Amino acid sequence: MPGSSIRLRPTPAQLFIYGIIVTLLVFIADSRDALLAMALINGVPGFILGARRYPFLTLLVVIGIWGTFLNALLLVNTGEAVFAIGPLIVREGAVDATIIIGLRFITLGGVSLLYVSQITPRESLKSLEAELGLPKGIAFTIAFALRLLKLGEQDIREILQMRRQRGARRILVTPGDYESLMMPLLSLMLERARWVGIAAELRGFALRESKRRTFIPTLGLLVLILALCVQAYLILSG
Amino acid sequence: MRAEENLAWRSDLAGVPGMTKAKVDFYALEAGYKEGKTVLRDVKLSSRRGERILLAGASGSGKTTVFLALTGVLVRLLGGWLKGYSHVMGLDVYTDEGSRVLPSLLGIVLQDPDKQLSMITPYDEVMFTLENLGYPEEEARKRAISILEKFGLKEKMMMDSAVLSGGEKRRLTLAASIVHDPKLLLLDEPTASIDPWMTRTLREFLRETQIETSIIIEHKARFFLDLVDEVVVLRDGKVVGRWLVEEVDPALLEELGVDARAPRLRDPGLSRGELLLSTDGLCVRRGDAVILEDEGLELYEGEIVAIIGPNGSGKTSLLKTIAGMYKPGCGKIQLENIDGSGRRSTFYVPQLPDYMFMFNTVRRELQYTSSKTGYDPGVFLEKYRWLADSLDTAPYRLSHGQRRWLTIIISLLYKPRILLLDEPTTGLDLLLYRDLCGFIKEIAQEGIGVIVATHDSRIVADCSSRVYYAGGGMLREISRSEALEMMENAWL
Repeated sequence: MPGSSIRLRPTPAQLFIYGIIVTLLVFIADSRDALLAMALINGVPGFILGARRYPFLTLLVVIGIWGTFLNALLLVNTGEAVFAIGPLIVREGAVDATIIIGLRFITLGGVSLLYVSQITPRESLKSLEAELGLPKGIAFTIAFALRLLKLGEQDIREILQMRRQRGARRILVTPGDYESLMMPLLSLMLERARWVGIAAELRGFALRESKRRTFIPTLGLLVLILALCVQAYLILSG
Repeated sequence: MRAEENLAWRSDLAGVPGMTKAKVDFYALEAGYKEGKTVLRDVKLSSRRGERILLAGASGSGKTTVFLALTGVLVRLLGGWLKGYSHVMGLDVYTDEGSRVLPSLLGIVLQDPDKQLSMITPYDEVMFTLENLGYPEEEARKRAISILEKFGLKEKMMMDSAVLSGGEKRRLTLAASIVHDPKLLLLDEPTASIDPWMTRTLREFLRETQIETSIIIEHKARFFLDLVDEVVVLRDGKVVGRWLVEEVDPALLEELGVDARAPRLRDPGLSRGELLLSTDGLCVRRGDAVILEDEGLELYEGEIVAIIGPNGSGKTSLLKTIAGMYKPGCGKIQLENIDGSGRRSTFYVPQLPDYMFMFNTVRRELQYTSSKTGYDPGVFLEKYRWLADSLDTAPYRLSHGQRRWLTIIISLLYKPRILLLDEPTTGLDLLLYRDLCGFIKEIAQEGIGVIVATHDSRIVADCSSRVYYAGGGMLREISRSEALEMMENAWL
């Protein structure tokens, strides 16, 4: 079209599809090199763009890696000794497992942060409905999750403060520690989701009609396709 | 049970009076969430010419169930049931046509903005309503900007709602609820999360709005008695009183658990012991910014000190600073006469009780606390029957009042010398409030110093020894009478 310029930023639907494909690839990949490349390709831009805005997600990645390390110590601490923490000898098996799963966490965290940092819930709702034809209930759930993430950050800070005040350990170690964090968090999130659902219904969400629109070409999409090709090549080449 | 089955019997209601083309016509012969468990019985609300109705009642009286049944949500979304009918502007809400048209007729305001707002920015929030209702994009954009300007949010319309103050969030929920010019406004406990200053804004909005038909669900009836035409009081799911507002007897309303009269200053009957806490040039920070500086705060054994002030004035941050959760920006907090007997110096109880729970049963909550502190919860189990009966219940499933009590009981098991309560009366009706006030006084009489951050003038009137006001970046002591007058004048 004369005078029109191609949009730079990928649409939420394009980022969403990219995220889904990366999620599949990261579970197919099993070599350290491929996983490292995926972690760099997705983690670096994701954490740069989103870590400050969504520290909660970043914290989840850190907690995930820490939990993986503790599990690995219990389940696969075999092979040559790599290093020692006091009397505890950490062996190859635990280190390998932590690196492999940790890189997956970084990739998934990066791609999630890329998504949430580049769009708003309303853009996400409109784009997922219109470009992908997702049912509006699912599109709204994904969009609202973005708002819940923001509220969840505040909740998690409060819960951690209360845990410390009640004498619980600062660093979450056991499954019980994680349970005591997740129980109030989920309770609050479910309660909010229930009432937001009611409010959305009474604000006419059931009446919402999405306009099907054609594919929107963006420069960002080209970058995403290129990134996917590189990652797929690295996985296939072993 | 499916919605159609729930409603199939309605033809039997042909003889029930009130099936007219009134603005609002609601009748629940019976209604509930689960089959066989009736929550509402014989409840009728009718606004024939567009009157404003105040639906009041103590916690658990069924007010919110009326809201859900009147809007059809009870049956359509929550799987509940209704034997009755609900007509809004002549439309049967329980028909396909009625449920399709209802959102364009209805504006809703829920008690907690965070349970209502679904988008991140104010602009998106308002646009969400308009897009749902099919407004053309350009018209929606103009309406959204215009309403945000009217509610003083235009400058912040692209900001994250998370950074808005409590009052701004309430204004946003009001803007999003009326941007489509609804015919009926439903407000469910709209003052629950706001300060008296914001209550004034809410009242001004109700006074000026062109929406003539409103149903306000609220246990603090006194905030709205001059703005409504009729008062209906529920108790145990039944209507126990219905008056034109001119005929309302506030004393009778209070007997029914409804807050209907201005609080009067009473002697809390507390005596002061040794000094427990004093501050010297304390600055309270939020992030990098200093939000509150004090002129010297003191707390003595056996005292209940109320901290009042608008939303965002730094009351919570002050309590958390005293509790050691935040570092002071400057100055110092001096804890006096707190010996090394193993008792904790301070304990902070948050506004949202759920933040404090860590386990999936009340029993485990108490056991864990006991294991940390060495104190036996037996005395509380003997004193509070509901606590003993709820040992195997998840704390999240307790009523709001019980959750509040449980957090305070847990905090007392840590044997603090100073108890810091953050908005402990939020959402409590008059009867629960009186119980809580009595409980806090008992705590103080045991020699514990209590600081309460509150928007509730009842706390100032009934159970505080002294009051500090946080506002304009300063914390200063004011007399109880001045505080009460300030809080009562703030909303009028």
